Amino acid sequence: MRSRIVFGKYIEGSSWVHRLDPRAKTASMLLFMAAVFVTDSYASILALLLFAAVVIMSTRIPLAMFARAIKPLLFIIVFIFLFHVLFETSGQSFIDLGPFTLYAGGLERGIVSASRMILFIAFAAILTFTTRPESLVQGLGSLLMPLRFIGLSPGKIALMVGIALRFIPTVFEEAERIWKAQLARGLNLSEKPLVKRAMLLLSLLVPVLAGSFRRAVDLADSMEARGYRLGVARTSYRALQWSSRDTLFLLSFALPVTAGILL
Amino acid sequence: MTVKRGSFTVVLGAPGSGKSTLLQHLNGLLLPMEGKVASGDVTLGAAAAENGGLPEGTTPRKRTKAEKKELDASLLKLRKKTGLVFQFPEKQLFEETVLQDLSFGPLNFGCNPQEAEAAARNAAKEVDLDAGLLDKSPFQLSGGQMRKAAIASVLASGPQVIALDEPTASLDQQSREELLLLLKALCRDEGKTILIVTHRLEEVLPYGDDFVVISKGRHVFQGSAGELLGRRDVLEEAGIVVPPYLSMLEELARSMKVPLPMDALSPKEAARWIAETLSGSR
Ligand SMILES: Nc1ncnc2c1ncn2[C@@H]1O[C@H](COP(=O)(O)OP(=O)(O)O)[C@@H](O)[C@H]1O
Ligand SMILES: [Mg+2]
Repeated sequence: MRSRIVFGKYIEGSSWVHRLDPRAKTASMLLFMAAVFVTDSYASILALLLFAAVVIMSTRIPLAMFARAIKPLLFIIVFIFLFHVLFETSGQSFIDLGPFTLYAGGLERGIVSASRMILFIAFAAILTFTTRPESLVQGLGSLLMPLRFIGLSPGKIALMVGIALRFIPTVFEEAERIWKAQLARGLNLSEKPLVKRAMLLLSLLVPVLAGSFRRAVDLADSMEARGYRLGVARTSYRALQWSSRDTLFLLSFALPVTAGILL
Repeated sequence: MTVKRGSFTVVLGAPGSGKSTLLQHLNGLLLPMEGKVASGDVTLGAAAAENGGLPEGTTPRKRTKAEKKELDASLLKLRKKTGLVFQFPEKQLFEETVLQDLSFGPLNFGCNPQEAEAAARNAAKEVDLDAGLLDKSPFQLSGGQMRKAAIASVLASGPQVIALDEPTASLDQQSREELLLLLKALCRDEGKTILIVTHRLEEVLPYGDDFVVISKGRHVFQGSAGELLGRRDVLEEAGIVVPPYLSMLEELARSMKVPLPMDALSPKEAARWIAETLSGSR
């Protein structure tokens, strides 16, 4: 189970994308998400796909890793695609399929929506694949600094995100071990109907959730025991350094956004 | 390695030598990639690991539906026969109350709710777990109580083979002895096969019939306690500490130039031997 989840994982590498400032990457990603959000035509989505392909190639991370990040959500993507294709009635109709008539507008919306999902995931994956969780959190904390003025604590938010990222695999491990404990005492799935099986999987949620709460309390205790205090100014082991490359990267992302809005 | 039916077998090995991994093979939580696990009429060969095996990166081929069904059936059979007490008890309990946890196994193996509850209460009594704790959440228990609950949850389904991964680790001296005595009684009086993992050689010396040593994932020794103590090279390589009183015994035998008795295993017997030797040679 563990090995299959690649989302949120960092993959060691030395490409220029890896070396960028996490703030540049996070901000660029937000820009890109905005661009993805406003696109609604073949032309613009194709441009974004090309753009994404270039960034993905430069990370020098095998494409298969990105495919694995998308795979768990494939079902939803296909669903969204079919939904648009089957039920959208704009544009010219071109195929008649008994109860359904397919329209060009529906096909376009289907493809665009599915591509949007893929782009969202791909970019979130680029960010986490090429950035150490610590740097990501540090960058986020620094980007969120303006929130101080409305009374929120950027440090707290960054800490929360950091812990969440750190504990994604742990939660899966927890689910796996409860599963194992149940199997060891004779849990047998194959004889049960599908609905019952789904219920059993659902019943894992309660102990996993309870386990997470216990873990959270222990974590807080052990952090405090070693002198961690919330809301105190902290120095970082790795200082963030903004270089001209980062400015360039950010600017290159501003391009598709404006293009996307204009197109 | 082979484990004889009705024996008290001890598995020894340094941390990380693969003891827990071995135990998980015994009831099919892990499937072998090489070799096989045979128990009664159930055999899990290397082919079982194709897909479904938990070791990472082994998915050469999906099992067909029929094969999967067959595997599931043999796994269930194996799991009914072999109870596994995990290394960390808190990793084994998952239900809302201790009683539910103890009934989980019996229910899965075909008991009705009344029978399951009776089996659960009985198992709790066997490990001397306070009946008042049965309605609590497993996570309100102390480490030692959790350990007992975990062992009871396995006993409740009445397995023929009971495999325990370092069961004495979080127990105090007294509970530790009680547990070993209980296991010995199960083995002697009910003919159960006990397989116990530990790295404390001294606590199992008086109880074990058969000793297995593993080192770096390989089985390096199997034999009686006397044979094991005669193989210091094996113990050393596997990183197992010889009980201090035995080292003392050896030292004594050497300096007094008397032969070392191989049957002096428990501290009590050792003490008697020392007393006899000293009074005899004086
Ligand atoms: N026969 C083996 N071949 C390869 N790896 C093994 C083997 N046995 C154990 N391992 C690996 O060694 C590690 C420690 O094993 P574990 O069973 O937890 O040790 P122990 O319980 O003795 O401390 C695990 O990561 C396990 O996957
Ligand atoms: Mg272990």
